[in-house]
Amino acid sequence: MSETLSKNMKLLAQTTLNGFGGIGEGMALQVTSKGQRVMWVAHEGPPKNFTGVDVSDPRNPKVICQTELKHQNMRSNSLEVTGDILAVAYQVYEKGIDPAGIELFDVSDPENPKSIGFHSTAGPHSRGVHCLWFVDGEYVHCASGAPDFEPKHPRDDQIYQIIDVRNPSKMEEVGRWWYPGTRVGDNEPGPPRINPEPMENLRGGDAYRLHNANIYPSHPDRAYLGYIDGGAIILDISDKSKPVEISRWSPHNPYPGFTHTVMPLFDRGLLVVSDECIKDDAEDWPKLTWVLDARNEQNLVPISTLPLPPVEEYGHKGGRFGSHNLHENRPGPSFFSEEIIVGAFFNAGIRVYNLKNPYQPELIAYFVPPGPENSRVPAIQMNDVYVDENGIVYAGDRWAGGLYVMEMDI
Amino acid sequence: MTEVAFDFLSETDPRTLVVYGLVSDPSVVLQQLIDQDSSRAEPLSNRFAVLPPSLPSLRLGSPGWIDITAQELADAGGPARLFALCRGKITNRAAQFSLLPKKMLNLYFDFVDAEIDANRAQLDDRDALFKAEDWRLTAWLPLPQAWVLLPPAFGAEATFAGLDAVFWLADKLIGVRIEDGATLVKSVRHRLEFLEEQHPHLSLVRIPKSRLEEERFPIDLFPAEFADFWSDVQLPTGPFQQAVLRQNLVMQAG
Repeated sequence: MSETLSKNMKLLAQTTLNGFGGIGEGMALQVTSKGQRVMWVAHEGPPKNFTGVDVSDPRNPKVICQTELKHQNMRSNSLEVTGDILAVAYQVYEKGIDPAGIELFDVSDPENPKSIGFHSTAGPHSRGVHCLWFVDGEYVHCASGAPDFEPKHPRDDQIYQIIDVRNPSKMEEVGRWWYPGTRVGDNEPGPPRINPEPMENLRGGDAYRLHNANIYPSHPDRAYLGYIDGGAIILDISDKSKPVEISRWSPHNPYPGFTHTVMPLFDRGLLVVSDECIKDDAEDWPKLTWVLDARNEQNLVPISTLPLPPVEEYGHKGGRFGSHNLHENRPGPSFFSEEIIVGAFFNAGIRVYNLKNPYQPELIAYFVPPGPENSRVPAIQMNDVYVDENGIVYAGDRWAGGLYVMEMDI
Repeated sequence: MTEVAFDFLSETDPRTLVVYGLVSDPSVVLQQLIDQDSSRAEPLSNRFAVLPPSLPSLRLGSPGWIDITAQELADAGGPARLFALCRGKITNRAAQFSLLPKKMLNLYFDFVDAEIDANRAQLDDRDALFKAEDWRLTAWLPLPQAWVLLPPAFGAEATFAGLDAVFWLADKLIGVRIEDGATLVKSVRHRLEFLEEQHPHLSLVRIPKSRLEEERFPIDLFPAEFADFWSDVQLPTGPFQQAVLRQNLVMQAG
């Protein structure tokens, strides 16, 4: 791919983050008390921990902060900002090593983040936190291993945990839930494997573990889980110490697994559910984003998928092709819409859909830049996306392209 | 490109086209109207309303909007059933995933019921033939999920501004927009701003989502005359009128 493909979107700026342009699955916008706007991004892997980019002028983003991981055998794939508190997820590449868990930073002075607390989830069967959600300033909801959690299958290790962070110096787990049958000691049999893979590959698919947990202050009694091969799961968390399953929906099998994000559209009775593409060259095609009728939350019904470009056109452009992260309507300085859905689709770039008629989602904008220099693959790999309250779209390339700032004309 | 066949800013023929209901692309309805000769369009159908300033108010009893089967008609005897039928037909014209507009409509019909109850004695005495319940059919007709055609001054291509519902009160177009916290994209914002600034008869009512959560119709947000839907009507009528009677009855209802 040598040229940009776009419709109703234009690039305002791009920064490769001082040469460390591999962005993970954490993008969050802070507006400081002085009005400075800082986009915090997590990195796909070491050596960098997180980077703060001043986007007060979105046409001229400036890196103002870039931190280092403690060692090369870990990654901080995910982060969130609420007010002036930055929460960062630490995951390690081998079970049992440190540091694994959650670190909180005071970023009121964004150029000088100060650590204000650490919650360890390290343990003999844990590789820490892959993804976290922190939007209310009180609780972190995360996908993590735990010191006392031994999964039956090594890849079923990251379960749903609720961490009370109101006292950053003494964070504590207040609730957890895991897929029935996945823990050693569960009476239920383990769930059937969708696409069995070698057990020694910790990063593989074939897993019943949590990816994203979405919990919104407007509906604090509900958790929406993307549980990888377990599909989309709704929990009642009105008692955080005892989450109760309300319903689950999974297209796997026959579909190839890896449910990633479950985003509710509360005022429409809909869920948008993405399955992450995890293999290059369309080896796990199709990885779809589903639209579910959730008016009866106990009976989730798929009604459509977001249309993707032809696999014969994109499947072999390089890298992954298919669904991944969505802009999640989080509180804060954030775009909120229950009709316009923005997603990152790896080599199919950033794509914007109109869901006014959820039976027929309509592609209304997209931006597919060329593969960035120094990337491992020849195509762009849009990994995550965040849209601010002004409709400015921030997206990150997984390997080298860094931060892309775009404007929608819709 | 669909022709902009109605112009609410016209000095000679100012008509507002409102496409409403279960319509995903209002320009399709507009094109159908053009194909059928828009100058002869009925003022009210099951998918659109054509509103010249002189058109009498649209009420539940106005003819043209309702689709009815013979069985439904046979079962609709009595004011309670007839009102319930109208209520169901209208709320079903908001899409099944438009939960807030549906809620607003249900609160509206509850409000109509409550208003009739509150004025029961006066209405029972008003005409020997009709009881208070019959006067519910004089309530303003909501046109849910409404698309208002913008005039050529906005652009040569047919463009619509979307509202959650509209009501037509004689020469006043009451547009309802439920504020649900959504970030308006540029095109939607531009269209709404144009409509609000340019439409000579529009009164835009913005209902915060939180007001709907109070489980009461937010009548205080509407123009004062909105609550008084029955007092200037001589007789309540149902919406199933024969064509030969329509003109007189519509005029009477106004």
